[in-house]
Amino acid sequence: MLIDLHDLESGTLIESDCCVIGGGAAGITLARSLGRAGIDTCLLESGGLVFEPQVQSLGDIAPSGDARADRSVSPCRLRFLGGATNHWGGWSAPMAPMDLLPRSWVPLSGWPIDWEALERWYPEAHRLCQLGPYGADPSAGDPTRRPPALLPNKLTVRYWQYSPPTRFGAYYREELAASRRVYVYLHANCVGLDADSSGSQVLAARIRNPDGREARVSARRFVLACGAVDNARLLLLSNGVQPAGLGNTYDLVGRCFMQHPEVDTATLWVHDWPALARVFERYRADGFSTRAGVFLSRQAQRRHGLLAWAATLHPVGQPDPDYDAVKLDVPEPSADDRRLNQAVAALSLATDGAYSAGQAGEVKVRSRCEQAPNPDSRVTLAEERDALGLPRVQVRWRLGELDRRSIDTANRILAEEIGRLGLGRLRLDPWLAAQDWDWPDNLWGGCHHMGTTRMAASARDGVVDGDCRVHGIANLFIAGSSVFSTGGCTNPTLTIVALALRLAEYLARGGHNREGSEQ
Amino acid sequence: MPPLPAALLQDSGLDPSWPADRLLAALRERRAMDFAAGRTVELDGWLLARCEAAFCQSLALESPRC
Repeated sequence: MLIDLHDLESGTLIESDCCVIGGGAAGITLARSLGRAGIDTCLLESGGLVFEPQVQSLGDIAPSGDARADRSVSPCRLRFLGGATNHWGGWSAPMAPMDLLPRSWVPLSGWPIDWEALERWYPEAHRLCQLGPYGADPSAGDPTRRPPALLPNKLTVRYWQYSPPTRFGAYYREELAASRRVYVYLHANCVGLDADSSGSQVLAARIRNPDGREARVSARRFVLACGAVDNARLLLLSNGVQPAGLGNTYDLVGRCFMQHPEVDTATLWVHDWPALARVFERYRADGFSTRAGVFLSRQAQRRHGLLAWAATLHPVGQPDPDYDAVKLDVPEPSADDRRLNQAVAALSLATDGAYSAGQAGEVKVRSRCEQAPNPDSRVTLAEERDALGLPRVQVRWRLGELDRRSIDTANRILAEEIGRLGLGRLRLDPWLAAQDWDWPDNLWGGCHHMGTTRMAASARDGVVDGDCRVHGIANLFIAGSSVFSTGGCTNPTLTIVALALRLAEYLARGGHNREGSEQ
Repeated sequence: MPPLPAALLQDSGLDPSWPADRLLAALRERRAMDFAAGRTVELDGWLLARCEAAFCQSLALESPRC
């Protein structure tokens, strides 16, 4: 059932078994699953069914002084049913087992759940995201799509599958409206959580709309599903009992804000682009759309002490619909550059001997890197307030030395493999080739906000436990990529949906899941 | 063949008198081994196998038009 807060008496008390705050991919997945399990669920959505500037402005952040960081945060979140899936590009790939493991060279790494506990939910998440079969090999049956024989201890090829993309609000709206168990409240901004005097139990969620109409939701369980920025914001501003905010005993809420540093890093001069394009450009496989990427192997990560890294290839000078929204700033080469390029091309042709007349091409390497958890990269409350009187947030996105070294070394390893196979040569982009380089201005984070309420076995290391329950608060859970302990280098939506399915099962079973943990 | 590249070939265990096909095949093998072992040279951002960079340099020295 869909209900607009405008249509309720101010001061209404809504009672439900479970209250899910946030109507994006995580919140809608949870609400659907809980409703299907026969659990009365109230889903609170800040916006309505379409984009409204007034509502959207409630999520504006206070400037941090770092325009690049602000640019990577502000335009990403959307406040209407479906949340950020309303402008999702649809890129989907599961995390790799290595992404969840403790790695001695990555600070704070290691999820408190194993990969199998997550992987179990990927097939269903694939279905909800309309991705086609899980685990499919798109190159099977077509030798021209087969990836080059990269050394597996250096690089591997893995695949993204594309969602249409599924706009969760529009796609699941009818089902939610028809549900007898799920009540979706629109224009219902959660403005805080009220806890009991010990701070160990949430009693109610306070909601308000821009007209000043208010209501309260009382429920047995609460789930925050507002995205990594607003999950942290809601915990921090719910400070009626604990001055530092809920779940913030160890000052961890908002810390370790991560994205996927995404940037052009190199140009490949390849002898036969049409042949490589068969492998690396987006194509339609058997019933689904896909794209291959080159990934740093787990052996290479371990040997060199690097983060996860992937690259996609994009021919220079051709539009790429997947990046219409991303304005790349690729400078024209100078005359000297052109001469050098020609010399290297001639040299590599002579030794590679694989030239196909007219098939050579220049290809941009777009890197997508894991970001190491960094407590100084964080979301905090600002002095500035929104139209509802709530503190806005300030986001400080901080990258560190391991992030720098990973993207640098990974590109050099790619160069070695491209050269070894005689496919062409790689030239680092000038910013990356420079000594003591700094990140370029067109760096962005992929709109992949993660880690502000990270998952850890101990309250000293994270905000939620392996069941996504806030440490020390019996009935407060968190869904979404804010719980990622580390972020891997693949797009997070599929994993967000998988974790939401896992949490829904846990809640539907009254605090038990098939992995054996108990409430 | 100019003396410097020829000397480089000999240093690499290759015989400058070999037919061009055989020399090229041997060079490709050296190049692949260099890349596989991470023996690369960075030249204004380009990452080249050490052997091919050395040959380019020697050819450039012998013939400035290279």
